[in-house]
Amino acid sequence: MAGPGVGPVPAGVGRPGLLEGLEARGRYASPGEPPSFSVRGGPGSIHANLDELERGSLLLTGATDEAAALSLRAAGWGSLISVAAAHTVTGRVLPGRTAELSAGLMAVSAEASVLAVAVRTAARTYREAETAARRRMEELLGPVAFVGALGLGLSGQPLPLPLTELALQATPEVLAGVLGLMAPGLGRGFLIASEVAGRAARDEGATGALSGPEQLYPLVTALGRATGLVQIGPVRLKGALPPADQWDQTWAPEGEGSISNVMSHLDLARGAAPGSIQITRFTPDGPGTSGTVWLVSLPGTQTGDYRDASGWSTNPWDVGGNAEAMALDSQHVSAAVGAALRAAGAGQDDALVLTGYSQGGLHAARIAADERIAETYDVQGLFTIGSPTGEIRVPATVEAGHLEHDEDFPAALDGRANPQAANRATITVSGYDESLYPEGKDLMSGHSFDNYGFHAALLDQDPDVARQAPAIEHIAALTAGGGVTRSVQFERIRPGNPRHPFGAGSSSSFATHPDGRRAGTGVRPGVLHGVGARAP
Amino acid sequence: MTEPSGAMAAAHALVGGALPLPGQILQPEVLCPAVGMAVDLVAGDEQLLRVLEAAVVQLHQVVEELRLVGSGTRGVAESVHGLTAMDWRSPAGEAFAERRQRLRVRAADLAEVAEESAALARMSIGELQQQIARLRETLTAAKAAVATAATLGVC
Repeated sequence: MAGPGVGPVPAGVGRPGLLEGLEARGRYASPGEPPSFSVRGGPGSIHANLDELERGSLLLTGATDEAAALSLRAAGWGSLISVAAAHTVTGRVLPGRTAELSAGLMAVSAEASVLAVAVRTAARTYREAETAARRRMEELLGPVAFVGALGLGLSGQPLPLPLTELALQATPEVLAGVLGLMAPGLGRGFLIASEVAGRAARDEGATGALSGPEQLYPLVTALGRATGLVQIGPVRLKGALPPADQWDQTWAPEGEGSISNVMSHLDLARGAAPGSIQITRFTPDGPGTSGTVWLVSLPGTQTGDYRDASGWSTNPWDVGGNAEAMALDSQHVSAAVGAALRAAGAGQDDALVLTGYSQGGLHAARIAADERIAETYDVQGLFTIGSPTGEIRVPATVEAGHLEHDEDFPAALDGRANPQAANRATITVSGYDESLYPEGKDLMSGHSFDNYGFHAALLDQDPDVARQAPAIEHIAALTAGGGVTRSVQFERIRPGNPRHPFGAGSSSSFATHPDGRRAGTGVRPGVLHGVGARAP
Repeated sequence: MTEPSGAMAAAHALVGGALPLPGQILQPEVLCPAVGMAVDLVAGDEQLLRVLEAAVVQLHQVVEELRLVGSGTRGVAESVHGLTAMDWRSPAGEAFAERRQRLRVRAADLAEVAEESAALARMSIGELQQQIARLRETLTAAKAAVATAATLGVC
């Protein structure tokens, strides 16, 4: 990794505005401009404050109910104090006091209720205004962005991340228009097919209109599988994995900083055999940490020919891996990671940190959101680099950080900015280590792992970064001590029947829990599982 | 309210020697009406005693309820106070902060009302217990007088 000895980078600090995610997505470094970064989300963001408002509304609702219940309770003492009121001097005061108490509590309940509604309405209004503004912008600028992105892409220049995202949102409509010109009804048919595929593959709990990528990727995946260009199947350990107690490779931080340490693990995964991940077991010695921590690092897409004699691509990190992550929630990869952790000796409720670069980050975010993993492990951290994770909902219990370059084309393939929350921050970096591009830059320059390493070294020197993106500090604390590490190789096998990780005879590690009970599937077989069936 | 009634007064007089004891000067025309009154009213005062004892039990229950309501109201006040951490910078946020503060103060005041009421109820229990003690004492005396009269066979 690059580690230039330069000073802290200028930070895009300050309180983000309501539409900050749209108006100021990163900074654009003109040639020669020093690298910089900006942070969206995290505890200081407006979205964290909206979360606070919603939490406040819940709290006020609780106060409303509590005060009302107390009021009713106080109102029911009349008969209990009537004798005392008739026979004692002090007792005569009690009925008035309890009536005052009851009426006062009812008034407090009513006031808290009004405030709860006001706060809830305010938070919803803020969010709706933001959504409406984003949709308006997509409608207005989407087609223009599509043309602009197409032009820049064809000329081989790096694409600004917001431009790519806007263009992607408009892509289904633009494609439908083009297809409609080619043959009447074709465009409409495309939209219907993409809508159906998108709905079938949509994440649970997602509502509203489908985004451009939500329409596009499931359909592309289905078509890819039908034509054999995209191969998706169960993923399993390749060979036996001894327990971590028997691993002989140790790992210790070299004082580089949290993000650089994350990247050094990812580098190990990248350098290992095709289809590998890196698993590191830590016994943290930092303050406030205890127990065993497992760090799982997933590499990016691996290009090459990984087909076996029958033509089946055995590397789960090939292009098909992206399709599995984008359209099928990484269900096979998640199952394989669960199996690897179990084989390594990870125990119930051990802390888990997931990191990934590019495709690996997509899988990492999917695994962090996988309820099956959460049933077994305490998923505490997520850090992705150059990954399109905007469509993925990360649980509020996971401290999540995302590192994106503002001209990273693959990172923009989600078509939207990452959601912002108190537990989720995105660091957008700008600029390049020019020494990495002696022949000039192209469309993929912003996605360079080494350029991310260059930024990581700079970010690690700036205390503002960890303050704005607490995931960094949290992961640093969890992985503060040394550990043992090992590359774990996976292989993709042909899907059986049924072809999901819980099917009979599959390689899935999630078929049963360690305690023997049947795991909830959490898998939507959907239309995509019926496409491109092959004999096992 | 619970001063010795007619029967009680007669009983006290008997026991205290204000009235001549039957064994010394048997004056049935004086003694028997007083004993009769005592007999009549002992029953009523025993009923009053039971009512007061029940009131004490109920007041203990009210004290406990007041304690719970006071604590719950204090909790509501603290919950509302917890909202001060909410970072809402806008005119609406300022208006909210003002109302939130009023709500917190009101809830805290009510918690104090509950706590003071509990103290009052405890004082009331004390008063009732004093009355019960006095009532028991006089009832005991009246019963003793009636028993004496019955033993001597005066009336």
